[in-house]
Amino acid sequence: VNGDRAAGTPGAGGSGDDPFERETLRFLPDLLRFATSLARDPVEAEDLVQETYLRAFRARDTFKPEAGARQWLFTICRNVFLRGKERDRWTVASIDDDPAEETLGAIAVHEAAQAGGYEDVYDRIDFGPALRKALEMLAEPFRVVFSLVDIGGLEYAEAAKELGIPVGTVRSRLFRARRELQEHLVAFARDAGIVPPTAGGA
Amino acid sequence: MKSPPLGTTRERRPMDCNDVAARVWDWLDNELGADEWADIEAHLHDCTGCTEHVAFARHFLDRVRVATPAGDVGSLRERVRAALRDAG
Repeated sequence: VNGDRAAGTPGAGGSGDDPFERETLRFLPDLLRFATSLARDPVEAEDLVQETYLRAFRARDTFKPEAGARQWLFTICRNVFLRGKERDRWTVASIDDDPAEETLGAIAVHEAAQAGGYEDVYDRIDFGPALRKALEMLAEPFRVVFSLVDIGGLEYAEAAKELGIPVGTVRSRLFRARRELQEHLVAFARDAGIVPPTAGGA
Repeated sequence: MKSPPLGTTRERRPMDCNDVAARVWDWLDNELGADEWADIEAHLHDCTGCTEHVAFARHFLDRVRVATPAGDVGSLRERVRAALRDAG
């Protein structure tokens, strides 16, 4: 449902006097960030954002302002994405890692950064595009948990409920995702010559 | 900064650096119970090494949360606006 008509809609460039647009479109950058972290590729992410807005528009009479438009849009976006997948995609038995071990792995990334003198590595790289690239390298179950918690702002228990998996699995997947992302980011910095060639392992 | 949960008065073994290191993410995510939260807080008060680990981890999460989206926000906004007008 990718719209070719996206290009050039005359007259659509105004500030928008429609109340729905005024209330919701300001959250589009946030929503795109969330969708981009959930979906594997940018085209799917943009379609997801558009579908979110269309569903929100159709359901606008049910919107309760006190809940906040941003949160409401995030919930719709999450539902569109997750309900579009087979449920067993998340519940499938997988070899889940030990959360404590994964956390220690993240500590090891820091210890290497200290030793190599690049503790500010995340400030030295172009973080947004690097994160996007690193996310593409994560397996979907890890990426989705990371996205729900770290971009979508869900608590562990809420993410577990959304995905139909135990909280312990959320923790292990989240911590592994963070550890892998940190390692990828350091590796990108190393490849770009921003940090020493020995940094971050291979 | 997250507000600390209610403390308790029960005596507990102080946490060492390994205990804290294994709970860094839970602590940053405010996912620990009151006892563990307070134990880590106490340890961090006196331990520079663990404080630095936490700062590095927190910095990563902070960067993640403000990272700019990869796509073209402007053109997507126009596309969504056009779709909404079609739908309306």
